[in-house]
Amino acid sequence: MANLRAIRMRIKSVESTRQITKSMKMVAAAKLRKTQSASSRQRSFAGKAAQILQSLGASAGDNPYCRRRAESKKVCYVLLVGNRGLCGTYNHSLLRFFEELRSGEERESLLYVLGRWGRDQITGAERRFEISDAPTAEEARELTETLKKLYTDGAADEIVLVYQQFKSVLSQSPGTKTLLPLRLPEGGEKGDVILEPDEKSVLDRLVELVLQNTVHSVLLEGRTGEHAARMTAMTSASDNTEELIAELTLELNHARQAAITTEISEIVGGAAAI
Amino acid sequence: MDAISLHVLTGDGPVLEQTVEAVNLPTAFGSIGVLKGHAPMLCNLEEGVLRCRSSQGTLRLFIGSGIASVEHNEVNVLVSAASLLEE
Repeated sequence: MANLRAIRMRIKSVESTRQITKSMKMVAAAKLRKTQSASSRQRSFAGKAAQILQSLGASAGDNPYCRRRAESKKVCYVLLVGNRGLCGTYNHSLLRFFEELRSGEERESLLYVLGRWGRDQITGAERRFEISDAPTAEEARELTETLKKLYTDGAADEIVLVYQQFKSVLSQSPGTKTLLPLRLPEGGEKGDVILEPDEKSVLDRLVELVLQNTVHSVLLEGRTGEHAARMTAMTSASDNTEELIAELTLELNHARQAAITTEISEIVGGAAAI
Repeated sequence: MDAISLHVLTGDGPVLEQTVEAVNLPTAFGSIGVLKGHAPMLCNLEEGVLRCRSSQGTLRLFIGSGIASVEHNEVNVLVSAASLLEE
């Protein structure tokens, strides 16, 4: 009988786990939808900005963010990890990718970490930033300002963003994107356009906009991947609990049957003895 | 009379999409008016109030800094922030 009670208790605890994983899945799905739609709105904005930059057809000139430095001695890595765990291999595979990247780096390197998960898991970061679950343009702007300052101060000659690139809901793969120095699109045709106040200021403003857009799109892509990874992980966790419950129920029925059989044979045995 | 399609966009999404008759853009050197048939132009925008007039009345938007492009009666305003000012 003790066995029966133990099995019943296990079923109960698995059921409550299922409840948790199911609700985490729903939350992740809602957040995924939110970041995905923010992503598509951001893309239309970034597309327009890129189009304007193309139509300006400007050369990099002496824009401080486009000019390549003669010597690139220091590189700053900006690592975007998740805000929480429980999202499959999302954080760990990114961290592994980053460690390989950093060990193969000969230059002096700095590390900035974005995301709450990195707070406890990653050591040796110069600075840490909190990024919300659905990053806004304002958050991207603040971060861009910090990174731009780091670059112009000469503390870094190159800034590389390391994040999980979003392929689909089921697959994300770690990758990098160089933020600074910025590479301008080539082959733009300069039309007959009035520039107000002048070409240099317009280009400077556009470069600023493009940098912000790059950061914002990376933040959104990373977060979209995180929510997708968590949703996938929680879906399979919920499926596993279903399976476990079915197995345990079967085991419970076996045990109950065995108990009944024993009881009957005891009664029959007792009656025969009289 | 409304011949200009105006798009006000921020990184968080479009704020206003409307066909209007005239747009007034705030720049560092005063405001620039755009009417139908304006020559192609790129201009830096500073924080200020953007006005647009259409057959339904005049709208005012408070915008952050950014850039505007005018081409073929289409005005694209890309700014850091924008919100409609109520009358």
